[in-house]
Amino acid sequence: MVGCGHCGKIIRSIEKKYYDKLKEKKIALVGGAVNLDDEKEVKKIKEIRKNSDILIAVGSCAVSGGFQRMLIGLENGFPQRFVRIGDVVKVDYAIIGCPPDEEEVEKVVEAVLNKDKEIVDSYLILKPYEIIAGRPIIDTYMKVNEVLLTSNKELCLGCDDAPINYEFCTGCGTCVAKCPANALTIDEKPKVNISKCIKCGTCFFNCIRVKEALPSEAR
Amino acid sequence: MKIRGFETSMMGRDIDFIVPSMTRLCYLNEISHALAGVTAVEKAYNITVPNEGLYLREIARLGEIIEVDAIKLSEFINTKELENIGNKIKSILGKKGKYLAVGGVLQNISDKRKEKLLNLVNKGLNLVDKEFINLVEERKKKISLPDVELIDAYNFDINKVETNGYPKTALYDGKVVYSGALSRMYNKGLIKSKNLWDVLSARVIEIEHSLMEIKNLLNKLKLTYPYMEPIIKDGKAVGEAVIEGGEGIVYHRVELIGREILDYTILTSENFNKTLLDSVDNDEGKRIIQLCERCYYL
Repeated sequence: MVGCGHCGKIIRSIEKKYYDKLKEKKIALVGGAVNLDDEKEVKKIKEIRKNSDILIAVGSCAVSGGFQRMLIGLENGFPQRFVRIGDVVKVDYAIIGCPPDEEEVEKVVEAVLNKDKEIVDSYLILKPYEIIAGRPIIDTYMKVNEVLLTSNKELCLGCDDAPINYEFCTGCGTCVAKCPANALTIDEKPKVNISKCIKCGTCFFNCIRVKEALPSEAR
Repeated sequence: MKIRGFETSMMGRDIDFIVPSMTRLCYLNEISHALAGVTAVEKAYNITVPNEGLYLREIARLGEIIEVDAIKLSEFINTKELENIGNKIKSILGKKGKYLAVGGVLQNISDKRKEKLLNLVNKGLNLVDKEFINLVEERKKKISLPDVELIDAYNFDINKVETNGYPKTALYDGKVVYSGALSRMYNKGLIKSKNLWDVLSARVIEIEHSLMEIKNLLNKLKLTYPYMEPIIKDGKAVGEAVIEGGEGIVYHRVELIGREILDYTILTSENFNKTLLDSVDNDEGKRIIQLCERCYYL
């Protein structure tokens, strides 16, 4: 799909290591956003979905559209629309990050491979990844129809200039440390420098109080 | 892949957006695209960067070159460890160059990390397989590939570039040219021939050369602050920078009004190499060129 190729490198390395098991259990790892105006790409992601039992979106572009949503794109004079994989096909697990941590991706893959009702741990590990795969990270994320209706590529995750609602924020600074674009500063409560923000969602997902901040049905 | 519109997407944005966006243009060239963008802004406003900042940037750029050379060689020999070493070296600017900024680098490294990097460099030097160059020479005798015209950032004149279409294909001085490891090593006199086969040998030579350069830079590096708050003037300004990145030439031109980007132009080695690729009708030749689609469909 569309991206810088960093997630692709992580995916290749994991696929190499778990090739047989992934094939046997029909697990597909996909990185990058989908260009809705590229028929081949849309067809490809639909085929991947059709041929796999479990689809794992790897990296922010795949999970939320991430940085790619901010690009205008151009093909024969027409702008392109970059959306998250979940807007085109069903995603089972989603691992956010720009780039995601390779060890985290491996941990999720192992948990999915070993997913067994007897192994409670794997369910605990996978729960947050299921939550963000099944629904937009927070309510204000634009739905695909809204994306189609607007040329505005500033589709924020809804965080505005704070990574999480101050009502929930404890000022611990985890989001600041995790931000891959150095866009956060903290003085009691974290603030986003919107000029640097790449809308990857890493801050939100790593927030220690993210569960409280999520709508009740997603917890 | 279709055009993502990196140039048009930059218009109207703050200069702070250059590093996070350019590091996401292509994983292979993430440091060089960000560095070219930042340097173009610094040139536009005559911003001085502390020496330590320049050293850190150069170390990261060389780390990127090692990683890319190793990745591109991996189709021919096992270079996995060298790839990881290059990656660790380029992370001196943080993941995705997050400490790179207009005015320098936001964080220096610790004494301990410097020591670790020096050990890594020494390890890398022991991994360089010079025997591979002899194998390339043997193949060269068996399969004939053409000689190529070369360009590099050290003798680059933007007025000689002729671009066509979108995505851009480019000629230099009216000629089909190659940009990349071979151009750099030829410029430095470390390789004497300009055959397409020599791209492979150049990559091996370049890995060793870059590791030596990094060693020198690390020894020069003092652990003082590598950043100076830049003064951004209010009026209009234009800056351009051309550097050698992992794949080859990376040229960025930026038109600014204060902190706002009015216009952004990017030219990469792949705009030239695509023209070369289209002119080569040999599979082995195509395999050696290995076009990076992300840098082409930017």
